[in-house]
Amino acid sequence: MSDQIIRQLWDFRQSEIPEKLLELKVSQAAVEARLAAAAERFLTIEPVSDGIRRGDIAALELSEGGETRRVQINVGLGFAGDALEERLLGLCAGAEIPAEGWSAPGRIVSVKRRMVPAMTDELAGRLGLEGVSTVEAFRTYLQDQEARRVQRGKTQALCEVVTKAVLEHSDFADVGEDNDGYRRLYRGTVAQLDAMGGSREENLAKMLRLTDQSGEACWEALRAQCADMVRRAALGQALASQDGTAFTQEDVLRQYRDAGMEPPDEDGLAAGCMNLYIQYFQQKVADYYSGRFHTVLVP
Amino acid sequence: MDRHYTYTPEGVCASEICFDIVDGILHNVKFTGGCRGNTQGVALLAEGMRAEDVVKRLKGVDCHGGFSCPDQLAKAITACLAESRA
Repeated sequence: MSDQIIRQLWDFRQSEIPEKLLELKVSQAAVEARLAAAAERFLTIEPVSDGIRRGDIAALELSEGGETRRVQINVGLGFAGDALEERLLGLCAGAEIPAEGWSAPGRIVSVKRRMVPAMTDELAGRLGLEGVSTVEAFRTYLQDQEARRVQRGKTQALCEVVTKAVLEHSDFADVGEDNDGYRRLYRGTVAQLDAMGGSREENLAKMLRLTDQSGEACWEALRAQCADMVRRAALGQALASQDGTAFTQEDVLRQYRDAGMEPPDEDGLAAGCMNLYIQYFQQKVADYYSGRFHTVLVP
Repeated sequence: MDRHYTYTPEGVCASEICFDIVDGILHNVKFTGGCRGNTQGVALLAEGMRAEDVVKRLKGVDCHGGFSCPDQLAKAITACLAESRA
């Protein structure tokens, strides 16, 4: 990939991680809401004799011009007109609907309601989830799922903290024009800027989200970004080398082919290769810390 | 027969589709996952329609690789109606 630029690699496992980053807050309310939502899978639709509520399905017969037409309304959505639906609330099956401006006269033929059962061990077992045969096991399953979701987000932040620490404590050779990876990144970015049309500096300021959009500040930021990416890729390359792994431009080409995308030029492939090493480093960090997260239940 | 139905679609971004059919009319269509706006739009347009008419309209809609969320809704309704007749 790039020239060897690390003189001494600092062990990422020495990073000081803020305790909060390893804390996975799981909302019990969110878990209970998901548990109740899962029970909806087993809901039944039953005729009821009491007054119509929002969410009920009401079948009406309306008489217009000597003809009777039947309509079915999901009460509360407003699709049949708010005035009619408001008027239906509280009326029972068999009730007459007086003619008013918003409706022909008619009667309520039937009222049906969605009946959501409470989650039981039997229903939890019917969800078909491996190892889940009770409500408590399902609750634990949902908590784990939620914790994993939170962990995915925290892992990104954790990788960044660790990467910054390793960049700070490792010893690098200077990264600049004489580095092949740096040159390719810089050249590839300039080609992208030109392809965008307009001012290179303005495009660069947008691309790097710079507040100082003066020409020299933009180019300085690009040089710093290219050097940073080369250093980050070098971290992954060093760990991959320790593991006897290496990435080539062929790996990048395969990714493009698998995605059905047109492959980039040589500079783009080199950047793609660097990205593979950056991802490798992040994966090593994520794997190392995956068992160090702990779940905290909050109301 | 009135029933609530849950279907696991294939080849699309949505991971689950559920709905009610009451006396042959479709209600409360809900997609889990998928393009939020598009699936909500499909669900609202299908509300209160005859289930068989929804199948006629949405069957064969393609998003990618011959699959789409609307087409999967059509398949789900077809499966539900077939099970109800059995």
